[in-house]
Amino acid sequence: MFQEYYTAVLTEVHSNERLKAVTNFQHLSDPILKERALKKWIFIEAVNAYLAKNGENRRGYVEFIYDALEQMKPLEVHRDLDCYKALISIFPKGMMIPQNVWQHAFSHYPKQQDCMVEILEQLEHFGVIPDTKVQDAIEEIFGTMNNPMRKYRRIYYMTRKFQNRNPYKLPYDLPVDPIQLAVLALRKMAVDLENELKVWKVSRDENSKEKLFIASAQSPLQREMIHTHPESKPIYVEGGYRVWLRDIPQTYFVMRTDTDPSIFVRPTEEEELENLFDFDTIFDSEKPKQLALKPNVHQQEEGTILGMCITETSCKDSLISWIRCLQEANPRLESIPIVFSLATPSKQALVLRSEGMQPSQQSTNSPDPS
Amino acid sequence: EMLLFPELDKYEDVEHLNELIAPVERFFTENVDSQSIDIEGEIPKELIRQLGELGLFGQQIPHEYGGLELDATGYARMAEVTAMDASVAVTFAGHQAIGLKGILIAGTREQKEKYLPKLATGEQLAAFCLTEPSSGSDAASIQTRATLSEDGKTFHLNGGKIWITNGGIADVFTVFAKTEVTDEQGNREDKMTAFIVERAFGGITSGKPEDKLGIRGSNTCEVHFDNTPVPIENVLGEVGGGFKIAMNILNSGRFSMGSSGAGMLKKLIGFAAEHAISRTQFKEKLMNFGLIQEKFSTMAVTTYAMESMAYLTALNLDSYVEPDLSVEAAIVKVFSSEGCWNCASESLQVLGGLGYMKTYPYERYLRDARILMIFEGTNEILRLFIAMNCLKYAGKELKEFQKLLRNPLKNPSAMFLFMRKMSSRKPKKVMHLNEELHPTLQHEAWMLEQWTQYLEKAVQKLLRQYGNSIIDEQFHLKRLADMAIDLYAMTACIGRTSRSLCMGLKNNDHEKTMTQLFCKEAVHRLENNFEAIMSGDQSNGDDLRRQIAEKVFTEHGYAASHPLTKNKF
Repeated sequence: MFQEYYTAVLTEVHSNERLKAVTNFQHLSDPILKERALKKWIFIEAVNAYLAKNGENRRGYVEFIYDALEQMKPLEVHRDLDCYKALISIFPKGMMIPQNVWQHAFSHYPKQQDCMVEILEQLEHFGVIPDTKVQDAIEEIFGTMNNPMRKYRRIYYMTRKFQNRNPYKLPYDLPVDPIQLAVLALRKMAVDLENELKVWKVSRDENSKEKLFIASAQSPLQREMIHTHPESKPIYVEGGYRVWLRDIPQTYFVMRTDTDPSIFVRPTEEEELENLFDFDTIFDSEKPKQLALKPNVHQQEEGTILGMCITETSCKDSLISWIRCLQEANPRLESIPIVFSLATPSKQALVLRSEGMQPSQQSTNSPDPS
Repeated sequence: EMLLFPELDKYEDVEHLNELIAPVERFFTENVDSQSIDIEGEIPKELIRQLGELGLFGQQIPHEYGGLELDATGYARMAEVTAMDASVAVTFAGHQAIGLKGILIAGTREQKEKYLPKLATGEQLAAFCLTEPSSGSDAASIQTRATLSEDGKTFHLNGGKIWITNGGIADVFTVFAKTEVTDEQGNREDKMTAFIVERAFGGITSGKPEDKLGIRGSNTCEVHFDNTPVPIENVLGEVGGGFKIAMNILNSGRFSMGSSGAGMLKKLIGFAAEHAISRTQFKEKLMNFGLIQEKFSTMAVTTYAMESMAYLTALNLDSYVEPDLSVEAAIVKVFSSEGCWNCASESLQVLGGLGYMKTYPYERYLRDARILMIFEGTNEILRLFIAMNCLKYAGKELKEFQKLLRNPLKNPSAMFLFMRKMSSRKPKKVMHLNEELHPTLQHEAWMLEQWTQYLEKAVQKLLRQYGNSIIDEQFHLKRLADMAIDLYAMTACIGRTSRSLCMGLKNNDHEKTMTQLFCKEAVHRLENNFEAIMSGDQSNGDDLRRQIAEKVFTEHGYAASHPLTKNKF
């Protein structure tokens, strides 16, 4: 039912010149942002159109609201508080407030209350924080003591308390620019406090003019480790790992090398007792045992991480460009052998062809040249 | 025996020393214009020449090379006088306490004959070159290199040093550089070596003098070595033995900071007292107000403790053959530097607004005092040094015992005996220190003994709890060091007071009151530190401190939200 109103408004916008000018959104430069703003505008206009058409006698508005709620995610307005407020404004005001004890005791207008609770539930699910205007609206519609109000109060209390608890908090509206998304992801993943993020723009090959970005994260400690890396051991570029920014996946690649297992060896209890209080401090000798190498934050038992990157096209060529860009600051990379072992992320995994029902040749260890 | 405050053997020795000091003191009061040195940022060459004529550039150099051959006590006494102008004092220290000390300690006869005569008269100045941009406290990480030439007769120095006192005006440098050393097994290693380098060797450039907060007259600058040829005869000690030489040099000059600090503070107390006596506010002289009296008593007691410790250390250095008083010297340095800073601040406070103005010398003394906490080993490093050395000693004594404690089930019977012994927590009067002291100091003697035993308990607890990794627990090491510093200061004060009382020196009852106050305050601090050590990381706040520091580093700064923040929702 909601679909009809939506499509109606959509065709109006495309045909009507005046509406086109209104929905131009000149202050937004990015076409994706314009599209989102347009969808939000049409959503709210669809609701207004429904209200205009049906006036006071809105029969079946509950079904309409359920339809609209389902449509919010595909239309990408599920994180927008204004759209939820628009849906809440469909409820008639004053009519459903309980007047006597019996109406208070039993859920007055249960179907409508459940519908309101559904709206609030969807709102909570997508991490939208309501504001006091929603509370005023619920009070006008249902009164002060009822299920939607309880739900609302709980959402308001809990989500406000927890809104800053995430140590890796992302901005409410994720940026559209893939470079900014990559930077956000790398910043989230970086453990070293001295980590440095660099973004390079590299052209695909000599002929094409378009430049693709490579976002890379490396810290001075990792640079030092590359500097002292022996030329006999290879460095692996492993990849196709996925990290999520709320609901947007980013594919990242890691430059890794094997760790020397001896640095994880702890002295056994007998050894410790033998050498108990045999302090060899920084004041006694030049190279005291106290300063023996402790594994640093990048050295793990599975391997030492020497760098991370996110590229626009997660293909092998872009990774080769990445290594070339890194060679500026890490000249040793030219002499150390680099092995690529890439696994394509599941989005680009097996493609079944219809004839013969055979999977196409995309094994996990060879690069995907697409 | 430690409480017997040592003294110079004869009355004539003291007289002789005083005769030596008197002309120097006169010179400093009349001829040294500290204010202009501070403003100009330079000590005039004429003044350096005059100081050289007084023999002050060779205070510890033997007579045969033209120096005054003062022992540790004489040097400490002279430091009291030279402290009148901090820039001059630091120039002296950079020249003799560290600059040429290497030649004195580790030099061969030829090296001494070659360099010391000119250095003693002040014709040539010396400098100590160890610090580099990437290694201040971490002396072993220097990157200046000395490569041996093909014929094995010359080393070539390459590298740069920063913040070298006298760097721009010195002619003889004690430079530390890394050399490649092959040991018996044939392994090649980089080890530090000390070299005597003359400016005349070539390839040495000094930068321009640094603009500093305090000691502005002292010349501090960068020194760069560009393939400087150093003949192999100029190696101090042996190739690869530079680290030990560096440690010895630094350890030997520290104790004089106590007496120089005391000298400076005595002057400041004098000036501030004059002011307090004459100034009237609220129809009363300042000296009658309790808060001012508290300040003066703090200053007096701190100065007394500083002096006592410095001379105890110096006299002990002279009384014994080949003494190792590096820990005591470090204690003196830590206490004196912090005492000077706090007391200079307090004396400025007594004067109020006047103290803040450049027309009075207080602000200059305060600025000069700030560097005391930083150079010659930062106070933090020295606290670790004190604590670690004490733990090494304690660990040796307690090793067997601790092995037992770490594995109680291995030897149950010994464990049981130990538990019986440990059940009595209160310290017992075992040492009978009061028998060696003047009878009025009984209470102080008992406090000293008691707290020494408490310190032993604390050390045992820490060794038992942490084992070898105690050297990483810097929160606790700092507390141990503070306890040791307070105990040593108490020892020095009590010993000196006892001697004064027995000998009938002037104002010895004043000394007694000062010792009593110092012991009271020291016991207060000792109590706090002891409680903090014994109660563990959760109760004494160390856990919280670690967490807070970690958060500040993760957030790259202050981490709390601004008090005016409101959430959007």
